[in-house]
Amino acid sequence: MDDYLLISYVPLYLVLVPMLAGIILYFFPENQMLVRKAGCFFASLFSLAGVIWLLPTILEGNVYCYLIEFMQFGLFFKVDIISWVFAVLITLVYFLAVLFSFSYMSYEHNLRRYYSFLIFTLGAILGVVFAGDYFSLFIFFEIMTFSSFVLVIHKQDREAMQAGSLYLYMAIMGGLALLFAILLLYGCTGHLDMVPALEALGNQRFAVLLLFMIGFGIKAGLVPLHIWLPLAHPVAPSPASALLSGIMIKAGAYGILRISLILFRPAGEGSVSDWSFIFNSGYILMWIGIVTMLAGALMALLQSNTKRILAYSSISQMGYIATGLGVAVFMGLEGAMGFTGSLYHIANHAVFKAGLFSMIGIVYMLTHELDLSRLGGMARKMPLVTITFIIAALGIAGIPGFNGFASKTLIHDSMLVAYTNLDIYGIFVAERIFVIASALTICYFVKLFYGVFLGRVPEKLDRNYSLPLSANFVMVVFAVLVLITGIFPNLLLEQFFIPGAQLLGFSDSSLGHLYGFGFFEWYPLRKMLVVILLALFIYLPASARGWFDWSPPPWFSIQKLVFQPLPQLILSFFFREVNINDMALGQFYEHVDNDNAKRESYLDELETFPDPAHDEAGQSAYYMSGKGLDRDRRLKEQFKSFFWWDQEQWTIKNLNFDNLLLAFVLGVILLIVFSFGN
Amino acid sequence: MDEATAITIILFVILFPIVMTPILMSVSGRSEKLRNILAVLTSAITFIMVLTLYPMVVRGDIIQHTFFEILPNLEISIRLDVLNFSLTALASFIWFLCAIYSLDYMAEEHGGSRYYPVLIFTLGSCLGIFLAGDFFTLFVFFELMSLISYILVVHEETEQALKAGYKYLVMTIIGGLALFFGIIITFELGGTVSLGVGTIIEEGSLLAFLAFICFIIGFGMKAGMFPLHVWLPDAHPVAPSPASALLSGVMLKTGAYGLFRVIFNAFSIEVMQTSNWDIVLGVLAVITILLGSAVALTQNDIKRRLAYSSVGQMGYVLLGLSILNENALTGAMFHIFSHAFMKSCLFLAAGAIIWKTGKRAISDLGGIGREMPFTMGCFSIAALAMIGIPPLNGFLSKWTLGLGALDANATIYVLVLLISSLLNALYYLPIIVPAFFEIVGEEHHGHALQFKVQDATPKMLASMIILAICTIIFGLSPINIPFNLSQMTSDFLLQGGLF
Repeated sequence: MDDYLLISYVPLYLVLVPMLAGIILYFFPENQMLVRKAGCFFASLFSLAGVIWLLPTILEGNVYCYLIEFMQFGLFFKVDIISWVFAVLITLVYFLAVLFSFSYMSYEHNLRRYYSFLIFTLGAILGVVFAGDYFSLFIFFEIMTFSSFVLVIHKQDREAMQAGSLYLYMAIMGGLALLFAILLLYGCTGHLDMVPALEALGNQRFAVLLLFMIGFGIKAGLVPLHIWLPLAHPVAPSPASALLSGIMIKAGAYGILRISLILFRPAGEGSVSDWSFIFNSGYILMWIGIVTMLAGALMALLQSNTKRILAYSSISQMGYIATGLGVAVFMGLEGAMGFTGSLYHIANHAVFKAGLFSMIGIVYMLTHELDLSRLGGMARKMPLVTITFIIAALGIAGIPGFNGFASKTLIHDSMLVAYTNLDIYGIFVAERIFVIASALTICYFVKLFYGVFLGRVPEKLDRNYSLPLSANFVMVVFAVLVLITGIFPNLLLEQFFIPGAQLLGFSDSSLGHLYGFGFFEWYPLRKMLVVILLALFIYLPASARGWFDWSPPPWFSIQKLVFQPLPQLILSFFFREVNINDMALGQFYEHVDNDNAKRESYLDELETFPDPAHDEAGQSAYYMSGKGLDRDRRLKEQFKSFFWWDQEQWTIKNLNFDNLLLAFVLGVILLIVFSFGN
Repeated sequence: MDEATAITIILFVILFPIVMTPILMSVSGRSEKLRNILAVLTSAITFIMVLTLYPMVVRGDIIQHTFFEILPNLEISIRLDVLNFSLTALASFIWFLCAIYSLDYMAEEHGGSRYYPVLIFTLGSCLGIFLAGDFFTLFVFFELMSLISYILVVHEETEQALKAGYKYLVMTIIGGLALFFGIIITFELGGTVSLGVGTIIEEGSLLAFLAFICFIIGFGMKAGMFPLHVWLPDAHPVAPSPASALLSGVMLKTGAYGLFRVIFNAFSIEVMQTSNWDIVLGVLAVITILLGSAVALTQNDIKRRLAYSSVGQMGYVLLGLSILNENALTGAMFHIFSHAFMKSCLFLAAGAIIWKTGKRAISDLGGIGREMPFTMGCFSIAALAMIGIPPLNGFLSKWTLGLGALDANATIYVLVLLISSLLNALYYLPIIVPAFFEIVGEEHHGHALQFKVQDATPKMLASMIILAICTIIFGLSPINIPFNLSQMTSDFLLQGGLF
């Protein structure tokens, strides 16, 4: 199906219409809200309809669209079934988020900016998944970073600005890593198409892979590059949080998918060293996923802010996706199950996480509370939110009958298959951690649900709430999507995910297992039962003893131990040296230029009285050294006051960072060493 | 268009502004308005006349014409090829916009009767540098421009300005002497200094190296190359903003242009590479890039930060020149265009902010984006282009330079470019982000913010907006004249650069 070329400008329109809508809507006056809402509504509806309209064409073959000479190197769109799956998720969730914004944002300020950037970002994200080469992908990736920044800092208070700047700088660093990787790739292969190119990369394969992983990993929130995510996602307005968590981090996952399963594949048969490189990279990716999964779940358990629990939960779920991809990579051509599992989980996570953020957003909209200790009893006040929340939470917990079950089962089974086939003890350990992380997922959702919806209603919040219609509609749609996918798990799998796997060239035997996969047989159900029992086993004693309220000491976190001091050290050294050199240079010239008159008088004195001249010289040396010290001191002060990487600025409240995380990173390193040693 | 007409146009382009200078001076006593209109008209006519040469240049014609010889083989001549046409067109375009901007900016300033004639005279001498046909003519105009622009630097007549101006003057004289020495050595070794003969010095001897060093000092001083950049961060910020825009946007480029000519006409790529002189230039370029970007981070005065940023950005051009392959030269040339648009726009916007609010310190600029949305919008676009955010033109030049570096197997240069991009982000974003998003004063959550919009005047805005649109179009558009000119230039230079 790869040979069949279809040239169509539909992808271009799908990218351009939301972007242009964003730009045009910005120029409408502030008070014309109806035009603005209608513009956003129709632009997102247009994208959704356009993507769905593409489906019959996509099932026949890939759609191509060239814009030659545009930006000198040409933009190139290529839509295959994998891009299409992402695109339909993006547009669907976007459409619902736009609807949700109508009710949620009605009490907010600066709506002109919000709606313009909201709809503009849609075009950028679609550009990322439609991009047919790495150049176009990079361009849309950067545009997405900058336009979503405006959504993150919408509140503009101190907390939002700090989270936003951390997000922005990390994203820029990621973008530069990406650019470097793309340039290196271009240098090695001479083109930027998304085709297997492992042989051509030669010695630079490791550097290119690392840079790509940094670039996409920052967006995807993989440990240890996740530090911006739990800060940035909660501060955005809830519809934007839903998009950030549901959709935008998937752009990172999409990138990882494209490079790990397409770029880093041998074009032909591939030599032994090629396959061992692939195996190692996949194995490491799986472990990154496992660590991310566990760390995110543990951190989510320890939070008391509702939106932050969801943000950490997003990190954890990205871990599932990365694990599945890792398994798919190191299984080589047999990895169809891991791949379909993580693609499935991407779809599921987009739906339930966007839904959960919307539901928590409604609670926040009506109560203006995010803290678990000050919420409670909302089940009586908002029954519909409660029901939809339960459905979405059961989805994320992986309970049979809800959508997360299918994807988690697939990822879990792929690990078991890998263990049976390869017999590597590390995979067995990873599978155990997977089970624990799944149990922890249930625990923190029980905690979240209990804190928000059960218990006594605080006096302050004891009033009647009326929910806007559009918000109700959005929640119900999310819940229905979770349920339909959960009850018919094989539908999406066979329609979209298996063709996607076929596109990547997985072997027929590994694909064959997936047709008619028995999700509701005893074996996967039993596994889930174990997880639920384990969750109860953890939750009951831990909540009784208040372990979930424990917060790690502030210094013991990845951010405090690595991200803060290291760049500070390097940069401060660098700038100090450079500044001193620059100033010394300036001083040198000043002395050469300016003090000629003084020097002449010195010369006179030197001729007549040698001794005073010596004194003068001594004095001026003393003066110079004093001046130098003074300059040095002033420089230090200047540097301290203007340097953005300031200690003070970075201490953000409610940031209790993973102390357990470090222990696990260490453990993982040991495990990797251990398993490679075998 | 035949050759005689072209020579007339070139001569007109150089001499017209110079001839207009005394006229402007005499008019300014009678009517300020007439003087201002004449100044704008002069730059506009110059720009249009330059544009008439475009079809000829695209066709690939080259004009080399000698008027007379002062000494045997030492002549006064003009030359037109794609390299200097690009720079001429760029310079006259930016000059035209800055002249329009000056109308309002300088309205309440003192010394307008001095400012406008000098501005126009500098235009003539700058175009003279670009259109000169040999190193001697180039040197004459180079000194003329350097000395005349001193008056622009010290225009404010404050103590700070005079001090910076003095530094500038001394450095300029040192540079000029070095340049002169270089030209003498070249003349001694090759018997001519004409740009029309291709390679003048064909092998790298010690004396030739001395000439190269002299040229580097002379032109590198003007281009703000380490360690000769020290005058730049003092002189550029103290000048009136339109003059700063010209100093940073155009006049720095005369140094880069000189180095182009030195590398391709006085020497050749073979000489450069066999004698390893390109490494000298490369090391200096890397230091310049990193130093300029890093020091810019610590500046709190907005114009000083922009000036240091210019140092760093000129390093890109030098880097492209040291790599010496097709992509790198295209990138260097295109970065000359990009930087001219971006930096002029930034300086004009910064000037508008200072003019309107009197705020120079970056820490005071929070919330300025809502008072002056268009000014700050232009500033942001240009600054994002500077960081290299696609699809703006700065990205295109960085991308092309990066490709050039990879073609030469110099991964380290790519790394330098990326680090510099990161540093650019670190010093531009703390201006833009608070300007738009920082909340100044009291505000209640949920209420629309009321701001008194008091933007710059339409004339000032017009020139900024045109420059900002240029940064977008010349990154995005498929029909990209600067990029095509850059590609033609690099092809032309790599084919020998004579005919």
